[in-house]
Amino acid sequence: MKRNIFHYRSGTLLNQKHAVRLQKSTSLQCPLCQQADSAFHVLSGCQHTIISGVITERHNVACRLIMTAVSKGSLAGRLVHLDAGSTNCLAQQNLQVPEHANVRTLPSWLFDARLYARD
Amino acid sequence: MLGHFPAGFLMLVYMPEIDSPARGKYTLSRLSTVKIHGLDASMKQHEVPFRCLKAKKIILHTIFLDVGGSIYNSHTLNHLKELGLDTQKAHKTALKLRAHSVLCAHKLTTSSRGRKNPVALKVLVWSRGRLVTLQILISPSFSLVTRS
Repeated sequence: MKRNIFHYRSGTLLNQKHAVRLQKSTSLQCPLCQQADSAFHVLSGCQHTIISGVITERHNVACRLIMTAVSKGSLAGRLVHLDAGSTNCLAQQNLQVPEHANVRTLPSWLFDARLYARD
Repeated sequence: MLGHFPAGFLMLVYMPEIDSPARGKYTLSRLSTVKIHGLDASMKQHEVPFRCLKAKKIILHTIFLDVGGSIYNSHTLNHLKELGLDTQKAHKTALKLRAHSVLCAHKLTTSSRGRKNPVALKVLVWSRGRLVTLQILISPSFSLVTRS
């Protein structure tokens, strides 16, 4: 598991650039999403449906870890809004969002009044 | 724009006022996994929405988590401390985030590699006194395998 990280940090994580350089491929594009391939693209930029789903889930799980830590800190009672994945995913990690924070959009009273007429 | 913000937002009422909560002081946190030199651009994209918010003061904390598991004092730990965590809890949370990032990096790498090079046949064979994995990859150069 750590080997992939060391490869990424040292710039030796195998991607299409290396494959072309080693004459194992002729295309510099990612075979999954047809964009320019690189180590960062593999870990964070691929637009393939399943890969991008994993990337989004990584982001959401990290948000939940932060939320868990913040909810035990000194500002625990002041959490008013959270958008970190679905409620079911939160329940899978035994996380409970406060009732007043269980919304996925910002509260309307936070916006300026002139925005209501326009939007 | 109303109600449509990027995912991963935590909003904390920092100094709420009971009579007019809209005039409170807010702290918004955003988790970012972009490259570190892209953090400025990441922060600039929130400038316009923040002008529309009806609050006394808004502080944006962009918590940076590298896809390779790197943790930074200035971009990760300090922001966690400003969200009400003490030093030990911030450090512990950062270690959890790092472990999570490493695990996902491994998952992404193996998943991406497996989809780029799908294996048609994978068998263990005994060769020269040891077990060796023999793989046949599906590729345009193996036309027979692809057709079958």
